[in-house]
Amino acid sequence: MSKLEDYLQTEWPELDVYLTSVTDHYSTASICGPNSKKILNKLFPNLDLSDENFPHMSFKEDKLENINCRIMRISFTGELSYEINIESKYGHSLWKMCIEAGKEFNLTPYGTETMHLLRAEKGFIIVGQDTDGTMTPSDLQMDWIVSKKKYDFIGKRSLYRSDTIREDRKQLVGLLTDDPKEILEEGAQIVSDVKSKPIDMLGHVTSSYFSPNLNKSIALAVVRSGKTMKGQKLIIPMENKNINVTVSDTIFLDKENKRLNA
Amino acid sequence: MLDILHPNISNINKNNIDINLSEEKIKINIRGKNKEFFTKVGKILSIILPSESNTSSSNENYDVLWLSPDEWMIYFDENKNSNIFDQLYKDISSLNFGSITDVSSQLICINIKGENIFELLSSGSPFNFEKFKNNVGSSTQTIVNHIDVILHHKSKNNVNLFVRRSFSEHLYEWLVDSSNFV
Repeated sequence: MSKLEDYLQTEWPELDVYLTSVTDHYSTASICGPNSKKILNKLFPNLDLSDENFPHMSFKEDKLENINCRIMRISFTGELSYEINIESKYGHSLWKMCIEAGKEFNLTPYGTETMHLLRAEKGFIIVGQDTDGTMTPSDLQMDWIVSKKKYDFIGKRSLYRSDTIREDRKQLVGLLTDDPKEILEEGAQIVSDVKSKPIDMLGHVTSSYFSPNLNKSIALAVVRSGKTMKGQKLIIPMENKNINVTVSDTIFLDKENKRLNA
Repeated sequence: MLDILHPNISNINKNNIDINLSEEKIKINIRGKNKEFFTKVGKILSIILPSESNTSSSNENYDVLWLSPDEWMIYFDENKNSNIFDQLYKDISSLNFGSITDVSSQLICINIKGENIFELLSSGSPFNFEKFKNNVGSSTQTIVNHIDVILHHKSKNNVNLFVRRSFSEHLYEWLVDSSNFV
């Protein structure tokens, strides 16, 4: 909100726009998993949930017992997911209705650690954890998010400066440990050679989990020239041992988006 | 109809201070600066928006608080006129004369009344309440116990405190605890 107000007052003062926070006005329930469409159908029987009418990254408006709701098909877990916004005073009722509707599908509440693990399996980043203020969409291998057609936008100049187009910048990669049971420590440094002095630090681990779906350890990291290092062996030097890892794709599970579009 | 769950705020009385949850209230944030905006608001609410900083206007139906030179908050009991948001939105927002935003669930209204309420609020706020407590109808945006609040001096020693829902129970606990020490 402060950032938007800052931009409104300094970059676009000519815009006839007002900003009002409604963060607390709404509660959100997120329903994730292959049965989420069936559960949503029980809650909103008149809503057309077909992929044609309601594709990923779109939203609809409907009513739950006469109360306005905004329903988004959006996913942070990598699963087929929907988020329902409702006025906060009805949030608890919405929760109870979701749990009731999901009983026959073994719906279960999940916490943020589970959410973080699922998003890491899918290679979804957390801004501030997998990134810092120096990283560009290109560093994150998310070039697709930047418009190639727009004549100008705030930050465009920065994307094409000599420093931001260097190929040896730190870039987001996946890491797989040679021992699949070995879980890396977040923040651990990454090197290619432990014998050279001083040791050349290439980057660090940003997210690390043991994936039950894959039955192995997975990690995201930022590594210098990481984009070109797929398949390369690197080393994580720890206090009592060195952990051998291989640079991988950032998406560990469901590259084809089959779960997302289940 | 879906059940409504309010924050867990119960009525208490300590040291001549009454603290009550004051819901159901409709709260509407309105923003605008052109002539059509003021005309439409005046016509729909039958009220003149306060132009002086940190003041309010009231009639038998509505209270309107000045928030900034082009921003006000209207609040009123839910059972008085539940269609007023739709009217304002239709005649102002949808015609681009200004911005009308329902913040009824964004903010929780806690009513505090009694002789010692300004001592209580002062104990957790950097705001100087000297003028405020002597002027019924004054309003302000400040912090209490590090939490952003909007205060409206509704009548003598009677203040409506508006706080974001997610902070409301914590602030209430602080108010109850601090009322032991004034």
